[in-house]
Amino acid sequence: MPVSQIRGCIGCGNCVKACPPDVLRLDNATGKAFIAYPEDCQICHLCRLSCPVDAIELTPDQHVPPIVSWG
Amino acid sequence: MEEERGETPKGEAPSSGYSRRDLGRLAGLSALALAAPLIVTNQSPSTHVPKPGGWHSSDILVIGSGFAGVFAALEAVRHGMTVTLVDKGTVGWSGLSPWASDSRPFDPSIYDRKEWIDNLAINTEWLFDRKWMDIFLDESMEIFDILERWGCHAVRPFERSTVFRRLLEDAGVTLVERVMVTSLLQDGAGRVNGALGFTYDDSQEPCAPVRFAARAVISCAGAGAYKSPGFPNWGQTFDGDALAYEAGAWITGKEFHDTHPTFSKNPAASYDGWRWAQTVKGAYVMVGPPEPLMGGLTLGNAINVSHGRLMRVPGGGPGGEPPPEPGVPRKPSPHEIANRNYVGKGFLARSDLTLDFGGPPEDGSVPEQGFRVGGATAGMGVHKGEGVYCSDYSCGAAGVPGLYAAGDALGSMLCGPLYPGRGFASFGSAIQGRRAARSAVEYVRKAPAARIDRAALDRKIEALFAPRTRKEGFSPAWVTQVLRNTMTPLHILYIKDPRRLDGALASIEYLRSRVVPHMVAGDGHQLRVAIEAQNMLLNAEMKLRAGLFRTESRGTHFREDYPFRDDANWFCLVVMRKGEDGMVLEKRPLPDAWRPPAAMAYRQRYPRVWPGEDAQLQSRGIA
Repeated sequence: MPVSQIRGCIGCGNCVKACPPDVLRLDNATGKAFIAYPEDCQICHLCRLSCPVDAIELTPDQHVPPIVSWG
Repeated sequence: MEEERGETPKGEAPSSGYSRRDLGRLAGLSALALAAPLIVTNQSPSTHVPKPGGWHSSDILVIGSGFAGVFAALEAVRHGMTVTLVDKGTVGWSGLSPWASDSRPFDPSIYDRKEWIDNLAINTEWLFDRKWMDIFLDESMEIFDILERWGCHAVRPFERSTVFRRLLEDAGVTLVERVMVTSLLQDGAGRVNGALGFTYDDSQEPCAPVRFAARAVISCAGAGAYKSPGFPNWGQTFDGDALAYEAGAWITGKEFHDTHPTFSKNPAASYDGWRWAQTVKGAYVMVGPPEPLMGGLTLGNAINVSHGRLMRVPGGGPGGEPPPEPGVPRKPSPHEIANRNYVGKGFLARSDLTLDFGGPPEDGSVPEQGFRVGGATAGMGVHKGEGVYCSDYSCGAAGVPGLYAAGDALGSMLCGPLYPGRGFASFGSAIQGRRAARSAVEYVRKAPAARIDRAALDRKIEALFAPRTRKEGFSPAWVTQVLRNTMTPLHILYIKDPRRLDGALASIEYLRSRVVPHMVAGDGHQLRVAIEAQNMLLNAEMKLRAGLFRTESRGTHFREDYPFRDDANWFCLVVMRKGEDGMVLEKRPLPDAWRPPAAMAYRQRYPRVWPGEDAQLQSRGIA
């Protein structure tokens, strides 16, 4: 899976703003970030790079493995 | 997997709008690896079309906040305009800007102008726009100095978001973020005078329409790809092209393609391929002039593979030895090798700059990459090569008053129909953003106040939210997958043949006419995905039609049935716009003075050899 885990979130919302394909959201109840749409993650790591407490983990595989063109 | 409420993924993905059954009786997220379902039941259909909030009114609306949008907005403010800047994501984070790091400013104290132009002519197969390049050569050092002054060279690429935000806020630009613009508003005379978008983040409030009124609109909405496997295109889905096309603008450059690679192991892990570009601190200033024959980003490797010559080149991303190309006698120049290896100061043309690559990967590991594979950017064109067509260098959309475009949203052919080397993109965007703003300011000073056609706006709002109110229909995720699987394979966009293009076109037309009108969206995110799918499908049709239209081969457009450059008939751009019965395609000739010199032999003009080209030239008597 791509963005796989958020541990120790402080609820700053940086990752939600940084994520280009809208994978992450803030939970209304807890005020913390959660992975709402993991199938749309493009493994760009901007969430992780924007996180001030290094709470986000990613893996390099996508839910639906993409086909490539050649090679 | 640890289930910690609010932090880890929720097994049922309840907010996606799919039922548990639709997701294939999943047990945890692994079931999402299955193909997206075709027909889904909307688990939370909207019972009504939401009412829009108030208007955002300003003299100029800028769409997109990358290099082009930031330069456009600041320039418009400098001329006394009120400016609203709307972005699908967040300032400096969306689009290509959070990782753009190459720069190729033309420093006349180091470089020879004629050498740059001559090299570009050969490499771009004579199709680059010489006037845009002149503008680039004149203004790029100024952009470099501005970025230096702003502090952009002292931070990593994604940290420019902080710099951009401070500048925009200090200038009094109204920022509207996390709003996707879906259509432009026009008055009775066709003048663009506003836009409609929506909020897709419905975690606090239900998603709702957002309305903009402006005397002019500058589209800096970037390029796109089909949710690319392995390249940092991220949220880019040709939104600017779709907005402009529906408003009646001409779109150009769709027959040409980017050919950046990814790697065979985990091809979608874009960060693993482009890590250096996202984390480097400082500006890369490319060494030397653009190469006359830069290797690696042409169709060479695709052609090899298509002929059964399977080139196993280790590693993805840039750098390393590019795969050999058929029939191109070339040796990399020392500059090319220096640029390819991008090691410390050896990479810099200016000795007063330093680069900090930030050391090895954070966790110390080097990901296993496997072999280089093609098509990491499926659907993407060449930087600046595709987008809104402008005939007079004003950045104005030909035939659509009040609409301007800049950066990758503008089809300026600044650096040709194939990648002629790194470093043109972000500087080109900045230059064009500034220029678009100057033209828009001039227009706004004479333009009438925005008169909004309320009835048309209501119809647009209803159409926009239709997928939210449908109870059952096609899943946008399924549509996206079918699109990707139709357009990505080697033999459709890269190695072209009219029968294959027609076959793909029939499929894309079916999706556009029979599936798109029945897509469902269970929430704001799904609605965004649905509209993105629509925009990507429009682009797919444009690319297939342009590919059929240009009956020659040039740059990154290769027709197996026309494997040669046809200067007599095709020294031109292809433009397209929305007609009564679908897309209308036309040629736009380039100035005769830009043609290759008549005295130059064919193989001197075009050193790259297409398979089957020599036989064609012989039978047609072209020397």
